[in-house]
Amino acid sequence: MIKGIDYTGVTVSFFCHDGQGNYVMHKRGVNCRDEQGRWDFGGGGLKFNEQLLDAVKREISEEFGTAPLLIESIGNGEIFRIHDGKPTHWIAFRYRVLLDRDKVTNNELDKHDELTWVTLDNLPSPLHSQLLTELEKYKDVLK
Amino acid sequence: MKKGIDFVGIFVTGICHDGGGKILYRRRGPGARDEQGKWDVGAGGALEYGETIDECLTREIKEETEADVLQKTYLGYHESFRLIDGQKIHWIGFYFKCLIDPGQVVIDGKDECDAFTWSSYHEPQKPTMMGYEEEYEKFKDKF
Repeated sequence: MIKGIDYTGVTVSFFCHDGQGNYVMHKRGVNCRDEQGRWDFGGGGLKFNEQLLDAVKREISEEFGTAPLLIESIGNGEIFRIHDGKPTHWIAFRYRVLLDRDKVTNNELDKHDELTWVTLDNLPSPLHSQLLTELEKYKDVLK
Repeated sequence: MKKGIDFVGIFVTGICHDGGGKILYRRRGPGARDEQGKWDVGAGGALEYGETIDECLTREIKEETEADVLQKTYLGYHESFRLIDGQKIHWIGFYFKCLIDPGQVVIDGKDECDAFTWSSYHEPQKPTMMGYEEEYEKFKDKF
């Protein structure tokens, strides 16, 4: 049974910033499940018996090697896609998270090729295929 | 593989009101999965794979009350962790306030539900379903 394919998966995704309008993005490596070579903000699957906020803290720690200073819930959404010919179904809970920029490191070298800090009006390319839709939805809270 | 036990289950609940300050309470009958004899504050059920939350809400309310959703307001989500018969249960619920026409409601003769009544959200029928207090605290200001 595979999450998101055999049953509806739940994911947390986050936009991490430094409090100065800069957001950290990573480039998805060859070991990522999908969207390899594309820039993304970050996230991961909720585990069974895990609270959403604990999943955010765990994922951020795994990805960036530091603990969140502030977590704001900004919304949730439903994602239906076709991946390798199969329909996928995810429910995503989204957060804006403040990090201490000096402590952020690329902590998942096997999955993330590199990290970069950007402003939202100057995003790298190519982006994760779903990002522009998401950014449009949350543009008022992501400043 | 069972929803809520082997993986995080998603459910959708509509707290149905008549537009005049009363909400629909339904008593769980002998054919209900659990908590027989307790009063359900909403109508709803598990999200099916590939189904949107909106579709699920409309389908479940129709199945359980025969009524159409005339208007809906999203109230929020709630994470529910329980231990039932030694088994860990993990669900995330999406809650809506739904306007329905009481004249459309047909519940008689359903094994899962053997009675219904209309009264204020603030004066629930007792005994209520397990976990009701947590939900009430979260949504009471919306009624």
